[in-house]
Amino acid sequence: MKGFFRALYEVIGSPQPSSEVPVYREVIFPNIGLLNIGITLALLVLFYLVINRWMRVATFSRPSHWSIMLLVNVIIAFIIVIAQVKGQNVVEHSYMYWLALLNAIYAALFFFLFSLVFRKLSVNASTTPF
Amino acid sequence: MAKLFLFGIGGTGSRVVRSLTMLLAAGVDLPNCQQVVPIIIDPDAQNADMNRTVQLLQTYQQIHKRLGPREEGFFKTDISTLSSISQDVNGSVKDTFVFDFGGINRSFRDYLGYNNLPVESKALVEALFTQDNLESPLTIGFRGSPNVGSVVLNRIVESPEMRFFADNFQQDDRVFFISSIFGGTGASGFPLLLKNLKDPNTRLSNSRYLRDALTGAVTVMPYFALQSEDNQVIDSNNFLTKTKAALGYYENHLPGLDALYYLADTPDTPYDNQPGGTGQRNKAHIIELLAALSIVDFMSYSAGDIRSNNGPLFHEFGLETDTPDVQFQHLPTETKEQVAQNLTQLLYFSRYHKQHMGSDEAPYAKNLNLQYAQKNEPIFRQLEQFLHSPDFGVDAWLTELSQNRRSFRPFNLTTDDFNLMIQGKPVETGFFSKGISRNYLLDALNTREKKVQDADNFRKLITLMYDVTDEAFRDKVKVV
Repeated sequence: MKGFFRALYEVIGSPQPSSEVPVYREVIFPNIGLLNIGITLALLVLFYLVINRWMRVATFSRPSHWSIMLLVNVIIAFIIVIAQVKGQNVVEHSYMYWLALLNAIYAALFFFLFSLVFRKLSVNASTTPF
Repeated sequence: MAKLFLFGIGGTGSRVVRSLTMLLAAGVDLPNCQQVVPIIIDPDAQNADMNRTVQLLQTYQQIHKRLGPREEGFFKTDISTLSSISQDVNGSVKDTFVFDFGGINRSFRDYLGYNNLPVESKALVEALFTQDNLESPLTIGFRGSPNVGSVVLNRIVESPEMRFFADNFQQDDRVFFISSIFGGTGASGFPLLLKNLKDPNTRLSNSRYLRDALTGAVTVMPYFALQSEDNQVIDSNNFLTKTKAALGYYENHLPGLDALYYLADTPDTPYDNQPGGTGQRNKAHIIELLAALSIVDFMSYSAGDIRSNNGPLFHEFGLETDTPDVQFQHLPTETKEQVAQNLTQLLYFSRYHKQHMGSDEAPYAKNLNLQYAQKNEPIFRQLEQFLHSPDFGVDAWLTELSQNRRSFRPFNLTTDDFNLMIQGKPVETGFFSKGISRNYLLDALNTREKKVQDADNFRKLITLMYDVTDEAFRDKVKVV
């Protein structure tokens, strides 16, 4: 698990400053990765199942509505990196923002990919985003 | 396959056929027949009422053809032209809903060959017909003169259309005549046609089937008046006199008729005095709708029920309440049950189609490829015409019914809110239920779309809309 998230987040290079590499690899990467996936799944359940199936809301199913959910996911993914890094009291570095941006990109990617599965379970958003 | 041959005679005939087409489009059941064959008999080829009825019938026919036979749903009843019920080997019958008079563009005098008649016959003609009758061009019909109509229409029985009709008449087929009694074409055409079809010495084929066929008719007595103007040929002050005279004749000259429906109303706001042609375009009237329902009623009886009496059954109709604005609650229970749900479903369909369908990006619309189909597939444009054409569409028909006097106004046609569309019967809403909202209908369409298996996107759409509006009515409206 740790190796997976390390590979995922070190595509932009090793954590900075180098003195903080262990805490990033041992704590922050797994935390933000799991949170990212968890929150993405929660938002997808909310959009595809709760709103567009169980609540039978049929007017919040367009690609524009899906984009709003994706944007929320991206913003949360960005914020949780800042919160995690600050919560671990690591030395501040601009790397934190690059990592937050990367996590946001992964959030968008996960949201899109998981949508392809979740949409099949939905009634009113079964063709969203396409 | 039992057929109903429907003779719509004169302007009233066309208008009643229009109403019947709307009822059948709404899914009203027409029992004991698999096919309706309207034959509109009106020498006035330019008559606006007739032409828009023909447009409506043609559009219906196209839509039904695409949909095919179904147990229930919008457009479920097959409406066909006379020539399409069988192969016409001679090619003498045109593929049209209108009887072909072959363009009788001459005066009645020339039609009779008056100038070549012997003196005695000329005297007889002058005794029976006014100068105005003799000079009137037949191109716009008989202008309220049944004495003219009875001569011209007598030749119909020798026409290729009537021979084709008789050749294809089968044992369980039925015949129904629609006519008014206070005009020219209907008043003369109905007894003439009946007499010819039931004539034991007729030269038409299948004469035994024709004679034994269950035969009904609706005779519409005066229900509108015409503006009184100098030099107008038709004077509506004579309608009652003409009605009495015709009734006197009908009393003993309707052989073989099994059921006769009488309808009338007290005229209110007079129509423009147009004897025929493109100017004769009357707003739809509740009497025409009720006349169309008489056909449904006639078809609902079995042969045994109809023939249980010795002689014809006579029917009249009365409202529960005498009101100038008729709503569903003013109709007798039986009539309400026949039409209320189906007409409401048709209105919901039309409204949803107009307001939302074009912009729906929901799964049902995407799976039906609806946006492309509505722009590019001809059958979807036919549907658009049927529902929204300002000339002959459903919207226009409902609006005309609501504007006429007496009005049939069961719907609030000015609102976009589905919950408020039935007059006097708003759908209950609350915090947890928004009634029949766009969301409700969209969700129902998406849910239903997953269950309906049909490769044809048009047929699937019509099925979906029927099922969804049916569910909306049963769940939310319940009764009216």
